[in-house]
Amino acid sequence: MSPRRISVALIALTIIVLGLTACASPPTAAPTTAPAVFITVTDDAGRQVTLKGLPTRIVSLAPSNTEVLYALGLGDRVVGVTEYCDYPPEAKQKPKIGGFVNIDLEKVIGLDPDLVLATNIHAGAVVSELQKRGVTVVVVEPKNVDDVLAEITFVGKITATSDAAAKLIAQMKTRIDAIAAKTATAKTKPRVFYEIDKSLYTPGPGSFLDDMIIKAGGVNIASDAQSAYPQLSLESFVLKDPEVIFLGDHPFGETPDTVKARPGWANISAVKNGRIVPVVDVNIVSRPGPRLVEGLELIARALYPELFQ
Amino acid sequence: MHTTYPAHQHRGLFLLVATFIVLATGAVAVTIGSVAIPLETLWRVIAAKIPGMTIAPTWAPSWETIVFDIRLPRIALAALVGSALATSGATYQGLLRNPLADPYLIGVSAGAALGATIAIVFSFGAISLFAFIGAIGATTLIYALARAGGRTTPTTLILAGVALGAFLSAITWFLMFKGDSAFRTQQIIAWMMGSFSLGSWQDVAVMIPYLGIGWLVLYLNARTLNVLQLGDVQAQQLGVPVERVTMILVASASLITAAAVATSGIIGFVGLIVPHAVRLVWGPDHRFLLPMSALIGATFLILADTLARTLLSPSELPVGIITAFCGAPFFLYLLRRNRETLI
Amino acid sequence: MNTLRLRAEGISFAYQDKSVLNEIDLAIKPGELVGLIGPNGSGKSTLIKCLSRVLVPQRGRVWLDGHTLASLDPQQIARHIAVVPQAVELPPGFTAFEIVLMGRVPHLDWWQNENARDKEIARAAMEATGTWSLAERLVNQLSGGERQRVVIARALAQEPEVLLLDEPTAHLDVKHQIEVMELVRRLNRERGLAVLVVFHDLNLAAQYCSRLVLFKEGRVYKAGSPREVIAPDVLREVYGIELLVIPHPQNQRPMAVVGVT
Repeated sequence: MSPRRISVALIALTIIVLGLTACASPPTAAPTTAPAVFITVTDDAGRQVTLKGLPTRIVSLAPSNTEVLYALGLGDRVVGVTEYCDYPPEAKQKPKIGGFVNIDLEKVIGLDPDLVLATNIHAGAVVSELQKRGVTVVVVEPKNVDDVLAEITFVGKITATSDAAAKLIAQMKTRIDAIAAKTATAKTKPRVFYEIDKSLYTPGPGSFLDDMIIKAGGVNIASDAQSAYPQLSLESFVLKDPEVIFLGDHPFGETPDTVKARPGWANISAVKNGRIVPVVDVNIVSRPGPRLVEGLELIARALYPELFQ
Repeated sequence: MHTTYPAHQHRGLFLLVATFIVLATGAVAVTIGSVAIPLETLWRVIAAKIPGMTIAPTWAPSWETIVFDIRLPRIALAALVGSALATSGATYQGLLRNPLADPYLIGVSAGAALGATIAIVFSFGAISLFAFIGAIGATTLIYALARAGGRTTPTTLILAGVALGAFLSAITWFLMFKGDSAFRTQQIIAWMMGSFSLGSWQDVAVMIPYLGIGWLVLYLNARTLNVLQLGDVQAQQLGVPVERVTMILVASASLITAAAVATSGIIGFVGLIVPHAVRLVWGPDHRFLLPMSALIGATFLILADTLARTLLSPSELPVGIITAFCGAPFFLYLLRRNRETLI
Repeated sequence: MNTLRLRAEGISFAYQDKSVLNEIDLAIKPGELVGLIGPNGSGKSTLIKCLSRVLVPQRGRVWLDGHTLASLDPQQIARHIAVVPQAVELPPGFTAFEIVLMGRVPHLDWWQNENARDKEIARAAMEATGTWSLAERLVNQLSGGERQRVVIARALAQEPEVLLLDEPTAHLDVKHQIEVMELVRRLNRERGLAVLVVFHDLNLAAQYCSRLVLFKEGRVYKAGSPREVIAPDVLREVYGIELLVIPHPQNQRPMAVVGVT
């Protein structure tokens, strides 16, 4: 047998062995005793998840989840966060397991978590890959303000911190209801445009920001759009004539002055009346977490300055 | 300047050495990752799996998961995809008699990207399946387009590939725009850049039959590929059924490329650079070129993937970026050294 | 009773709408060295391609002994008919021996590799063409004449009964032209091959061939012995110029020379 035949045979052998391994490989994290069941829930992705015990090592795959965990007093049970988890500041000290879409599987598993809190969009394929390797994953997907409150209750339930959750929700509800009460007295609701990007990307129906605008007593000019993050044409934007503009791209350099200088924008009501609001901390209005009340208050104050002195 | 290539009788030896290098590279890659596992523990983790060995586990069970369910499948996948792309690239370069051919020239990447985009934009899931179907569909269409009067020539294949590729890309971009979601767009682009980050044994298992069949057919046609280098007319005059062979080669090469792309996205440069480099050093005999390209492609991609997952830990660089950065200067160097025998 | 090796019968071929060959009848017997001459574009190369089934004529048939080419598959044809193409570009990176070995392809199944016997046949072919000393050289380093002889060796390795050469001496200097034609004549005599050579040089054709076929615009204008075909009035009709024909001092074969005014 010539050396070439031998190495071809070796390659074939390697491929066969790989194939057999691939087919025969069971998940290695199989427990050998019958697990105690702590709780079984259905998460936002419709998955039935069984937690085998009280979660004490929690990994968060989204900044909003991290904020919820800390708000429930679970900060010391958090063992892994994303690079974008910047609130509260203590969270930044925790080990990082990746970014928004790029999660380092190895890091997550190396942290030995008994609960991974994921979101649908950010962690689609990651969820199934983690599950395959025996990790308990729960998906939360808050789409609006009410969803966030429900999520807090949910996370409280699966971490046995329902009391803290109830308290937090009560606090948030008080402030939310206060805003609703005040804005209910207004005769007309102002037309609002939230600028994600100066190419007129804006939150549309079904997005979290859209709900925030509505709950703060505003009317989103993009409410009749076809998708959650539409791009408006300049014409329809001018036609809708927003009365208040929020600059979600303020961290990227947009200011009321740069907006005023845009050609064709001079006659927009918001520009004429100087009601252009730069958003300094975008996270409080766009992150579906406990700080949304601060965001709501910020928006409401800008929409109804006379009501909120 | 080559007056002759490394001697024939040593070729088997080269292949043997290359095989060992692949295995050694894989072994080293297993020791590297974002979770630090000490070396002796690592070998004991692996040894414990050998039937008949009884080693009491002194390590966390998550380490076993990391080694056997994250690192090993990833490395295996990188090796398989690397060898698939390199073999396919070598085939296309030989078939089209064009040194700039790569595995994606006849529609595989455009078709796969469209398939994946459709799957992501319409939330069908099963991205791999759609990508695979898209790739095979596009190649079939291009082959049919290029076939004028019962025969395809390298020129018509390339032209049809470029034309249809552009068309499919246009549809893909349109769908991305229509999908109207920053997240979806990011997902699509992330997929297109190529990555092994979520590689599992399932992916390996799925790839193997396609790779096995395709590779077998290609290798058996290696000598015919040599004869095709004489040109269609001379090859036909030597009794090669050129049209039929072209179809078989295109089908097989596309099959393995489609399987590779469906699993891990569009990783460039491997299929272009590796066969080229092998040819510059060892000559154009496809009976050596195909297996050697496969082995070097496997090694190259294992290395690239290891870099991809460690350079910016815990974030991951798409593998395609690494292959481009490493591939280009290497090729330039070989080019300067061997200008005389550039094919 | 058919001693004809290769016979073209009524071959007509057209590229799209342009007619290139028109009702060609031509035959080559074993041991014959037939020369095909004619102006550029008169269809000579096209006929070679039709005779080797690279092109399929729209009308007419090509007979190989008792079979039509249409009834044979490419590999069978290649076992009997070998073609030495015009000014061939060989792919760089292969040695002369590897190129000659490709001549064994018609005798192998597609998955087979060459065995010792094939290598022996290739070596013999190279010895016969005086190219064995070039065996390990890369083909892109060979001179034009050496390359041509390597391709002839490859054709020989096919063990054909019919040899078709398309302008084998074009672009070669005089010494190599003679070398190649002497080789062809020797092979023709020693192995009894049926040989058809396309010439651009009338005198070379007249010297080496027992029979000449003169093409004009896709038709056979005249076929016969060199003396019959290389005649001033014939040449005037086909080439459109006045040529003097004188006998070669050593063997009386016709030589066409340009007249001086």
